[in-house]
Amino acid sequence: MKKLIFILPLFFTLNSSAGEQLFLQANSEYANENYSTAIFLYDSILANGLESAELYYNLGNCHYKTQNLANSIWHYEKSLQFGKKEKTTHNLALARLKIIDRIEPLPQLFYKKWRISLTQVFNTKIWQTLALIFVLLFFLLKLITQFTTLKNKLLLQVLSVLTLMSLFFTHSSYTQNFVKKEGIIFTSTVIVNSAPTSNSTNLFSLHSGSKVVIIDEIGDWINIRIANGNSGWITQNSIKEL
Amino acid sequence: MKKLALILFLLCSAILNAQILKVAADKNPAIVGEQILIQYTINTKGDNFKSPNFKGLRVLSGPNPSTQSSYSFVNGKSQNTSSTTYSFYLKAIKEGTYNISPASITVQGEKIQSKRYSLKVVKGSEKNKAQQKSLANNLFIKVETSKRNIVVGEQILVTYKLFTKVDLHNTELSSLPALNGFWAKELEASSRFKRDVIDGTSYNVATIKKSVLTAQKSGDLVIDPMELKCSIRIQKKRNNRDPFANFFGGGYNVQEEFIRSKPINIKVADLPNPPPNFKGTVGKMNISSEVDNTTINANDAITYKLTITGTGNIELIEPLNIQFPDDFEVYDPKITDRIFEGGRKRSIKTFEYLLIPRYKGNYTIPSANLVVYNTKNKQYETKKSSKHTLTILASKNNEQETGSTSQRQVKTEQKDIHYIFTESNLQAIKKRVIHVKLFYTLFFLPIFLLILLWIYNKIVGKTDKSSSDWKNKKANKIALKRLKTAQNCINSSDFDRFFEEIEKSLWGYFADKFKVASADLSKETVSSYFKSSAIENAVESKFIALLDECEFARYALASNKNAQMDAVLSKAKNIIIEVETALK
Repeated sequence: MKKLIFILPLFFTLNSSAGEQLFLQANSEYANENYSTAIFLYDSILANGLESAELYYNLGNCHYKTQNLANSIWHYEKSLQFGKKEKTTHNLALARLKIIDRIEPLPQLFYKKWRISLTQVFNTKIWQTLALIFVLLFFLLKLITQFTTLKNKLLLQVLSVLTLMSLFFTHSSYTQNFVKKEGIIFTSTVIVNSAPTSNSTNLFSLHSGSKVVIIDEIGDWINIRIANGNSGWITQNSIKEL
Repeated sequence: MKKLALILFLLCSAILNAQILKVAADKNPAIVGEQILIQYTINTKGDNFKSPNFKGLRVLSGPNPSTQSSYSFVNGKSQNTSSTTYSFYLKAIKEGTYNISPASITVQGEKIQSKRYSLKVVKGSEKNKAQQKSLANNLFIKVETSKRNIVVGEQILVTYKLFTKVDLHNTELSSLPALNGFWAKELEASSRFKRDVIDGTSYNVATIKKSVLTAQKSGDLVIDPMELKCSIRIQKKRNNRDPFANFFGGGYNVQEEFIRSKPINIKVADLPNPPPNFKGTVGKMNISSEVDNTTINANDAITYKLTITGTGNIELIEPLNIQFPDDFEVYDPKITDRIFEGGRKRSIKTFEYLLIPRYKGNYTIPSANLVVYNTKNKQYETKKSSKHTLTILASKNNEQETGSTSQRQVKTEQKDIHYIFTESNLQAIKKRVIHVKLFYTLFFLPIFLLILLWIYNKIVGKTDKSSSDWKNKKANKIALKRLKTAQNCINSSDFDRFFEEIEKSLWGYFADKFKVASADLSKETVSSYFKSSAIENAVESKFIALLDECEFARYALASNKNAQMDAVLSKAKNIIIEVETALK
């Protein structure tokens, strides 16, 4: 059985040209404003085990056009995990303007802002590849200097700095996209409680489309924090994890 | 006797002077639903009458003041009496005992109060009930609605009709129907009586009220009853003894009755999945547009008229979103609506836009779209008006168009999301990242290898003397370090200092290497230390020869000092390297 599970995705990945076909078909449905058909086709690509930043972006557009803002925001956020794209951030900002909640984010220190925006330049895989390339180059150069009389101290220093930087951003990108759990509220209104019980104090309410960071989980309850620093507990079924 | 009569008369008038406000009812106990007359009488003129509080009783009319005065002349004596009566017509709806609070009146600055009055109301007999019932059959309001099951935004026509068989004297609306959840529009109603037959009985029918209701929310809505106060004329029973009354058709009694219509329940359903551009327009309508002029000079005005006709909640339609060309100046539309006016079956609403094109060119006014929910086939329909192509000619006064002041900035009016990506590199899910463990292994493997190499060098490089490369390198390094100041001297061609420095560095090197105190430094100690360290004689002699050379050169005049200096420096370097290699 385990083998089968392993083989199935392989079979589907082989079929990526069929995925391309579906993608083009969905695009033409979108162009003809048949958004629900387009959503169905895009989703079937996902069901086939394929994904891409563009696919999530297009799905976000479809949901935006059908006024399903929570879903739209979820897909744009998902698309951004593959790396920053100008189109995606623009559309996400527009979709965020249309939802009920406007959360003023806490002001961030300049270096944190820089770090986040630099991290988003590449996706995690590219950062990882860069780090590996740099460390390999460093290694080769070191070997060369060791066994020959050729010397280039400056290049070695630059390479070591690059290696460390790419390692740092790999880590940052990995935590951002894979370790740090985030979610989008999907139910129209959800009340945030002060404790993971339904009869605890109601702190505030959130509406569909708002983004939250998941801090903790206890049973059916999850501890969330929103961009302005407030946190509380909501039930699991009101949120869709990114 | 006369005297007695006079006394009595005076006494009487004295008693009469003590005014009281009498209260009396025409019947007590009264019957439920019956009309009761209550009169307050005072034997003089008064003012500022304050009505009592008829709690629980319905006042049909009152207070109706009436004054009676009589002047009599008896036996040469004149007598003037007057009395004022305030009468109320009441009706009891429930049986019971009603306590009517006192009424008051002011007579010559004095306030006079009546007594409390207790009125008993009992249940009527069968005959009375039958009478009431027959009245209900003869006089009633009927509410007619065009539909009972509607959707939000749908309109219904509600007609209130008064059916009567009795002789109506007067009618008056006492309470209007409350229309919660509806938007109402009154229509003209002709209140003339017509004849109508229901179940074989003919009635006089008048339309009291006609209105168009638009449901504003879903759910079970109620059209509350309307109440009408009717005055009915009832002919008095014939009084045979009064020929005059008979001659003039007899007298009439006016009886007042309240009649209510029945409340009507309307079921309002929600609209099924409205499309995004649906604005709540329900009904059956058409949209058309016209332009008064299709060819016009720039800066002249055009009128664009959009007309919506049909049935439905047309009056609630807001100005449609029409994408006029950017170069047109658009003024707010003039809106006129004629809703079922003049007995028409359809409503008309027009939006009249004044447009001023500012630049010449060909422009198109796109069609205006209106999404309507058709209640008949239960579908959403998009009604489109026609497109208009306009040809704008150059402005009559040219300078305004060409002048620099008329330049305008390109701006985006509306924001929309960007279009989708048309190409994509699809990849398998979960391949978005190199597995963390694999990544860290690959990353730290070269570093680990480098560390291993370093450790190996540390350990192996010290023990293995045969690795000449390594040693040479190190010796070279040491020599360069020692002879650094001497090198500087060559660069500045400082001869005297150069040889001094060479000598100093050689001695310094020797002292440091063999840990010899500076006081013991001499050529003998050099040979003894070299020998004990098993250094070849050739090296030793070279070392000493160089020291001699330096000493000699310091005091001798050489012709080519520069060449000598270079030679000495390379010699010194070689010697240090040789010593270093020999020692390891």
